[in-house]
Amino acid sequence: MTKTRKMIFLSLLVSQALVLHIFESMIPVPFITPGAKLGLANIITVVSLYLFGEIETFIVIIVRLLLSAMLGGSISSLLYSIAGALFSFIIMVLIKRVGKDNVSLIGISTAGSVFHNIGQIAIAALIVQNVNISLYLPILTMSGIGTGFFVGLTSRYILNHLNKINVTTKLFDDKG
Amino acid sequence: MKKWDVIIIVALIIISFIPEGVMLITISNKHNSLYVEVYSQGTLYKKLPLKKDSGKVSFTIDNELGKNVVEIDNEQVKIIDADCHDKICVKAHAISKPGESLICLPHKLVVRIIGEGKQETDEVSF
Repeated sequence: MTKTRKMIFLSLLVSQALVLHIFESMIPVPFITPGAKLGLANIITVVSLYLFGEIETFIVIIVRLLLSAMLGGSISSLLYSIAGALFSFIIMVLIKRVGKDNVSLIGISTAGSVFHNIGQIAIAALIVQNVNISLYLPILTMSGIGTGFFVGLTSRYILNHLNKINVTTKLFDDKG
Repeated sequence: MKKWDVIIIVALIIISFIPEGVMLITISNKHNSLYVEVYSQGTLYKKLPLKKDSGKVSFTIDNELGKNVVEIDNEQVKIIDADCHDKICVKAHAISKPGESLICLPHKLVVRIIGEGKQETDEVSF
């Protein structure tokens, strides 16, 4: 029962992240900066990092990436998004482990979105074999901090509501 | 918003300026003559001198990934046309100083300016 419930919850998270990802690609980005985006799917990553553990979050991320590549992406865009997602996942896990209660969702999601950009720039630098592209980083970081801040706020509201309806306690009751 | 969040954000801003700082340190602006290098898919495609009064020169890089038209006007280099969908390289400002570059990601095209007799700085510094 626990396993099934958990699996269903994880797949719900994946589908939510997918919908956010697709919805996001429909919103025109108001900047000229390529690569700057809202990072709405990061909401789900942060939520699942808090609701579940690191392994489950990793599964959610990988499944989301593969599915979004199948639903209208290309191999190169998959490469970019995998690099970005892995960078941001690693830094978020690190900050959550080191910071514990000292750090809030906003700090974690901001670091996550900035490192998403860093990962993508690293891959772009590898592909064109030119490091100068990293000079782009400050602009992307500014937009990443802005979006990461609001992603963190949104995740906090989501987690508050999920706690109200006792999703987590139900899950953990079944576990025990 | 907790105290650590502010620290993290400040740290992120500092990290993002590292490449800029490295670039400033490694590139000296004193060069006798400048060259324009065009890299297509990682290999050197063309190398042209960049000097005053050379007039307008434009050439086209056309391969299976797409087409870009590069224009050298006196001391400035610009990509004036491309058939990629976002046209970011066309919107970019003209470059004229060593170390600056124009990049078209979908076509794997890099146009950059280097100074004569100097080592390639960016690979070393990274």
